[in-house]
Amino acid sequence: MKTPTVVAADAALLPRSPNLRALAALLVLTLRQQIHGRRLLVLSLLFALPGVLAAVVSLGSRFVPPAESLEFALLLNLVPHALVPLAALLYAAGIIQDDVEEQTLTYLLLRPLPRQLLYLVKLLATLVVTSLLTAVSTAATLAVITLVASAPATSGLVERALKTAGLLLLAQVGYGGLFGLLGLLTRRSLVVGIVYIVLLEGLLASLDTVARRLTVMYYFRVLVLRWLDPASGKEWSIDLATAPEAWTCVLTLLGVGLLLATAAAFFFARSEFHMKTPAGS
Amino acid sequence: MPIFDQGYQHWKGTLSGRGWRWLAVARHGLRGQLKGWVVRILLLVAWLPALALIVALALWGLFEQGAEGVLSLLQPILPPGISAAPHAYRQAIWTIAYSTFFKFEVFFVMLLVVITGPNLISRDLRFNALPLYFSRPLTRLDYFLGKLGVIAALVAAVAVGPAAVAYVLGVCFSLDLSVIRDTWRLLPASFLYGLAIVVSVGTLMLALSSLSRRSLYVGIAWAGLWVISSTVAGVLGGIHREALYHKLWQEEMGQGNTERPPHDESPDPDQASMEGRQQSRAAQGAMREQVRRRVERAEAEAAPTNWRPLCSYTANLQRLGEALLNTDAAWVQIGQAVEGPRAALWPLLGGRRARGSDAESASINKRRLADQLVPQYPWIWSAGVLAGLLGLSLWTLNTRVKSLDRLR
Amino acid sequence: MTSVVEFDGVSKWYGNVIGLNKLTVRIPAGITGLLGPNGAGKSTLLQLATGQLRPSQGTVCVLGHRAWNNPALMRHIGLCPEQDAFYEWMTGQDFIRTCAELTGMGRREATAAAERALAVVGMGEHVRRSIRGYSKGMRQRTKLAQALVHEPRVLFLDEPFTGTDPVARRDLLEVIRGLGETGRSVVVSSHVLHEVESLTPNVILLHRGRLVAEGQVREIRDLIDRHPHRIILVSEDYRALAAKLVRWEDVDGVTMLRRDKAVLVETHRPDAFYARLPALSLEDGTALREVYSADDNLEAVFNYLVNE
Repeated sequence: MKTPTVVAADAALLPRSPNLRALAALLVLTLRQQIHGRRLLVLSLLFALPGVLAAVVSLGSRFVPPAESLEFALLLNLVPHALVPLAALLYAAGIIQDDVEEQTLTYLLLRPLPRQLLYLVKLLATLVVTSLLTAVSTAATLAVITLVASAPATSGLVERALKTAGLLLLAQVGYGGLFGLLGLLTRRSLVVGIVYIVLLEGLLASLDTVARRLTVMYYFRVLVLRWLDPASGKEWSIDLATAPEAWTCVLTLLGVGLLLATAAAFFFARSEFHMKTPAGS
Repeated sequence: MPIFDQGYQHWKGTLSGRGWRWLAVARHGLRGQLKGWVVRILLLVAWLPALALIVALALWGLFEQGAEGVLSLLQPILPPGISAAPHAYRQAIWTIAYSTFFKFEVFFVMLLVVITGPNLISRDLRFNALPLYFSRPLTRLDYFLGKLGVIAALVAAVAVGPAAVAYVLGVCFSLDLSVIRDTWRLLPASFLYGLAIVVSVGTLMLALSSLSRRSLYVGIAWAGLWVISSTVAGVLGGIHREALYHKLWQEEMGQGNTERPPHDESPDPDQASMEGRQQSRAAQGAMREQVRRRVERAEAEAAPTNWRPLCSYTANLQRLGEALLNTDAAWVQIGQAVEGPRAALWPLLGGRRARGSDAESASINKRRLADQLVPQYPWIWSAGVLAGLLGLSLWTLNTRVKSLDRLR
Repeated sequence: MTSVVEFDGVSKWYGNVIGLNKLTVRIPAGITGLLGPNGAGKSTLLQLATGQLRPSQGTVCVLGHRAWNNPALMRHIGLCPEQDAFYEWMTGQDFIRTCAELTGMGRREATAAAERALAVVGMGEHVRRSIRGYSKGMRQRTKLAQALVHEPRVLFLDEPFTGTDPVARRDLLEVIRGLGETGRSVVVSSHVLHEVESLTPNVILLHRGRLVAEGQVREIRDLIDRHPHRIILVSEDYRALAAKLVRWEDVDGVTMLRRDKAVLVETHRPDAFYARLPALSLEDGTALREVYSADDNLEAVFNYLVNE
């Protein structure tokens, strides 16, 4: 049989720049994936918890606390300690893993989408969903607190809502970058993530040591103390005289999140995914 | 006959009894879980508290025998009453050691279950393996018991087994059989507690595992239950304390004063002179201290009806353990030994280190330690919460794990 | 003949397991069958060609460009994967349109392309139903449609007939033939040998990660010198026929098939044997009712090569 001659490489065949329409389509697809199904419903119920607790505390307790105490306990402790990192773990760790387990990643890899951008767009979609959840939860909780608290807060509702939601978004950027990378590096991302949340963000961030500067929670708390000045902030044992400035914290959270996201994107670009048989079998 | 049929041959052996079929499911599940190095390493790490328990009981045994090295180590740190008659405090010390051991082991059990539990049923749902199980002479109960058996084996490996081994070694190091008379209740209490953990944790994890085909979601749900419930309990407690502080501060300051009570030493800005500011700071400090003591007293009084810890799943498990081990009585007994020297030393303590009113702090309160370290609300409340979760889990399992005729 | 896919000394390891072993092959334009038993390396080859896997050694080029991590090349490649996975909550139309949008088409263009692709594969009336409710045949068609929607130049089909009923299989065969006729290059991996044979005479045979044979089925068969051709002659007096054939020098073996009233002949020179058959048929008592080759087909070639 004659050996066939090879088709000559045609540079014009391959456009150089990534197609923005394709990336936009990917963003929409990922948003639809995140919204579809029970996962969003369960998370919405969880993020409704602070508001429900505020109502329960005021109705079920003889002593109704002031608004600032409720905000501190619910929005500045419960949400960033538990809800935000778990939501980030649920969504970000599964950015690629979900598609691998569902075996739909093939369809994305077969499209003219640069792999790095594919990952970053999916991460962006994840952050959009979690941020919206957090923002709505923050506003709703503050509204409930304003209605039920015994003493009003010192500053306006809208201003506090925006600041709190903004700070929580910054925390999400940090967690999203971290857990997204974790989801790519190990199949045990859940366990590692939980250990990280419980031991590092839970315990280490509360200890007055240098090591707590490695946690997202530390920078979040410094920003809260500088921008929101809660009455109960002393519980966190942070000396503002030695703590970083507010914009340093913002840049640290954003920078670390971006760095981890970039690292994950490059790792994803070089990874292979075997989807012929379901993962784990 | 020299030539043998190589084709299908009917097995003529004896089948095991009906009651053992669940064991095949459990064995298979456990074998699969133990293949992972993460599980094996976690098991090793989970045995560290057991080692610490064994060391603690051994040390106490040697202390009772008057071993010189141990005496020199422990006598300086123990109250004189305990050092003088260690046998009398044997039961209390053993109980507290076991209670502390189980507190650590509950953490490791939660971690082990989050690693091994999510796959137990979710994987069978995902790969449609239920027909493979139920097309055999296996009932849903066998399937459930088999899956629960995997968790039971792990809990036994990290909690119950080491507790039993520690007991035996503790008795050996004591070289005194009367130890058994004093502490034998700890063994059945440990078994019962282990059983309660298996039933509660196991059933809850199986129910969560049956709700989703993705083990990641199940794991997150478990983590949510663990982390969020604990955080909620802490947050509710914090809110209650803050509300109490706020109310009592207002009472101290007088009616109608709705100023935000300070938690720090910020001076009154209206005081111009240094001396004035210092006096203002001192007055505020004393008032703050007074309010704090009132808050502590109010919380102590309200402890038997404090429902907030019920929101934490692990706190409910621990409360049950405290009740089975009778940790409260142990701390009361230790409290008796501690309070005497503390009351005697009280007049020598002064200034800012003093806590509580003078009369209160000088008196002997043998329940002080127990009230601080053991939740005082009735254990039956925690049992009720766990029973409710058990019922919900069983209902979920009954709905989600369908027999062959109802599988789609 | 030009080749659209080139594997040059390609090896692929999965840990200690070798998927492809120093494979050098050029897949020509047109329809090519990719054959081999389980574990031969067919799916590995397709995943390397579509850029999902990186070769451990060697190079893989499609249309002259490296396949690995080359997203721009995906504009010209389509893969119908083996796994039965979709975004189940989408309708068929929604899914294909989304796939089209992911290649950079605008909404309107993507909708039109999706409709065309779904029409080609014969998914007319079910496209607005959720994929969750599709039958196996409909799912295979939908998978094929997503591979076609952006009109790629090269199509890779990984086990496209798996789980389909005979009617669906026939329809899919028609579709694939039609694709070949429109000038696309199609590589079809399958176990269903006679259907691949009905699609194309060009095959690539893999076994244990190695290339065993490539080219036209007949040419490959001719080259297998070790195994004689087996030809069946049906005749009323098959015993007399057998008695005559035994004396021919180019006949290596004769077996009587009593039930079929036929004789199975083994020969290393089939052309010479065929040339003498007409004269034999005219002789008394040896009129031939039917003549066919028992192994001039893909299955026989496959079995000979794989079972060596």
